[in-house]
Amino acid sequence: MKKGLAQIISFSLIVGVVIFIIALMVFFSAIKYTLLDTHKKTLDVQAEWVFDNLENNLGENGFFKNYRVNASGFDTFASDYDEEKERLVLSGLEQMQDFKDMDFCIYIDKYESGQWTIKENFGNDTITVSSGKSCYSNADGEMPEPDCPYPFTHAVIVQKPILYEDSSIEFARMNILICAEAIK
Amino acid sequence: MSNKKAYVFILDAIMALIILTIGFLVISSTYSNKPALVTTRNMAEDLLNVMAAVKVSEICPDCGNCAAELNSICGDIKNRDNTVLELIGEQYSLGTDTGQLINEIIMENKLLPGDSYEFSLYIHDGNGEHKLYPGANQDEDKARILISSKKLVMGYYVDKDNDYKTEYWGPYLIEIRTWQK
Repeated sequence: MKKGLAQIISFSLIVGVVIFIIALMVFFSAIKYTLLDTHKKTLDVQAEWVFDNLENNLGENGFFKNYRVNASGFDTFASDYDEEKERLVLSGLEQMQDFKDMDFCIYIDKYESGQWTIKENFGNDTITVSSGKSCYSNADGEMPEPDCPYPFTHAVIVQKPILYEDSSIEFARMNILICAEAIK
Repeated sequence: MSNKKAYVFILDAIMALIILTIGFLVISSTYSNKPALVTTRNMAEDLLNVMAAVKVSEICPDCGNCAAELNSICGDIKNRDNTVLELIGEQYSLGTDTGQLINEIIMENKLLPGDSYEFSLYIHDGNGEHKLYPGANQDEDKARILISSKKLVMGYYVDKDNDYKTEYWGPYLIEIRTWQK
């Protein structure tokens, strides 16, 4: 009788350990690939890349140098914005893995006299933020979560301190919203 | 006999569930809210770079035509060819409290991304590090990821009150530390 009980306990222990190990493996695999931010595809690097492209890749269309945005240059760039300029802004991102299609919207806002004002903007105005407003109307000053239209799956917003040169030089902020469709 | 077997299985299952739950709680509380490292790292550099990208003469050529950020120390500025970052070094060498200046530039202009980031600014001279901003203690010791970025500043000014003698100051290291709340 005792031998039979010992066998049952041993068998139960072994089955329990095996099930436990399998459960642990499933559990950690699920966390590793689906839940943890560390393994999610993010667009932080792409946003920094766009920031660098604005400074280094626009050639004669350039309006941004050494953290300075030239207002008239920005107006000129944004007024006849086309696919070629979009290609310059996104240049190099096609070599990055994980994402196959991207779009963006950039705006400059400034906090003055207790409220935010949008100084400049260009890009895809269908990219909205959590408040439902777009690059062209989001003057809340917060760091909102971009809400990208279908088929985009990922979004990021990066805010950078800059100097805005118009009739005077002011400290302001550049907001870069990026939407991307991940490669499954 | 079968009752005992069932008892062992149930006990085993309960133990496994407890261990899995503890594991889940530990992991989710440790990693799932990982601070945004890229943003924090670049923010420290960006803040230093943007202050190093503009000269005092461009935003405050004289006290009658001075940007709000520099109004509080306008009369104390010795060399308007300095950048704003160098101005912090110059004012430190003169013993001026630069806390309000730094607050005006970064906090009043809301240059930090969103409300979830904080920063502190230190200056390093031959006698160690000195905190210039903020005056009160912050929870930077509790930050899970703290990023530091430094720039070397040095300069001179002509002292009109001392027979137009050229005074040199520095070199100092100005350090900005950033972290997510």
